[in-house]
Amino acid sequence: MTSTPTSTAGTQRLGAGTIAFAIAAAIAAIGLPYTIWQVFYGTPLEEQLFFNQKIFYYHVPHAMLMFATVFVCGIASFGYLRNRKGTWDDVALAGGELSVLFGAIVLITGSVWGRAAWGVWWQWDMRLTTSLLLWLVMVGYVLVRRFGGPGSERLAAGLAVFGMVDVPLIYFSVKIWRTVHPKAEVVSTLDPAMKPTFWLSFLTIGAVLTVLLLLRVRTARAERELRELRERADDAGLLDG
Amino acid sequence: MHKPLIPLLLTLGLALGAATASAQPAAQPYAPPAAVTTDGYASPDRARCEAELRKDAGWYAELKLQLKDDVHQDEYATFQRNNKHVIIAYAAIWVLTVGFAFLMWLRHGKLAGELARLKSDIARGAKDADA
Repeated sequence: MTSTPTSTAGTQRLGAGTIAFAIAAAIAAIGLPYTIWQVFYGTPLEEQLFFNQKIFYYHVPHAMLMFATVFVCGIASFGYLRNRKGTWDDVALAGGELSVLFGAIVLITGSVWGRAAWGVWWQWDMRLTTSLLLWLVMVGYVLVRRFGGPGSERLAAGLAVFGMVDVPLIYFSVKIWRTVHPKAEVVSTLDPAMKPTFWLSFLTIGAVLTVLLLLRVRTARAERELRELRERADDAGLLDG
Repeated sequence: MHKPLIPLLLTLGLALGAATASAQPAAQPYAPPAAVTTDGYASPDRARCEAELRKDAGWYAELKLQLKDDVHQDEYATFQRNNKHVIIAYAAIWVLTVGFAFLMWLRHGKLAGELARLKSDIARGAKDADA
């Protein structure tokens, strides 16, 4: 009797995940080419940076979504530390890997933009330095997960929670310290002709993130189930020889 | 698992195509800076600078070249049409994203192989145990 509700819930979860995946994939597939078109042909040139400002439409949404992935990883890690349920750990791992991907994109595009706007590839500015620090923490998380061996997921979870604390520091760094990086109000004060494209880009990149996150969670779950199956088969003596 | 790669790869081509080939921003006319009026103020630094310039003909020629309007216009046009940095940034975004998706796809393939091997090992182990 108990197996029926469980499998029904499992089917519902799978259904919701599949629907979310389909919606996000559709938004990404339509949004990506349309956003690129809008960025290059539908928005005016910025007065100071001219064509170089086109980097903004991808750099800033990636930065905002990097914060989201760090929160996903941190909150799921916190959940895992409390409940020790593998599902939390799967989500945390997926969020951690995606935060490394999005962080790398933010740092590279930011560096290229810095070269175009300031004439240098890198400045030891507080916004840039705290962003690099967060990225290194998340790289550390992934490396611990990859090479830390059994039990490393708890250590990594602590690291992810620590990484989450760095996010407000990055956000407020431009308010607290004098920095060369544009202020946090750059989005709210954006030219009205640029705003729709910016938010469209945010939506599209968010959809790409959702697709990658759902796929990575599925792979992480499959990896965990395979590991558990191997352990059970080993314990049952079915893998001897 | 293959399906999400298709729109990503298609968009990679579109992104690079858009950034390299046809994205030519409309050139805006160059406006030279307004002349500075000194209102009769005799700057001692200016006098020193003029004296130095009289001594150094090479520096004078270099500065004069920089003040040429067409040099400014060339630099202005180059900056306006500078799509090199935009191309580098967009290429980095797509290479990293597609690379991540590709690695995930490879990992999934490896996982399927491991699962098949484990099933076969378990089946063999179960058969041996029965025997």
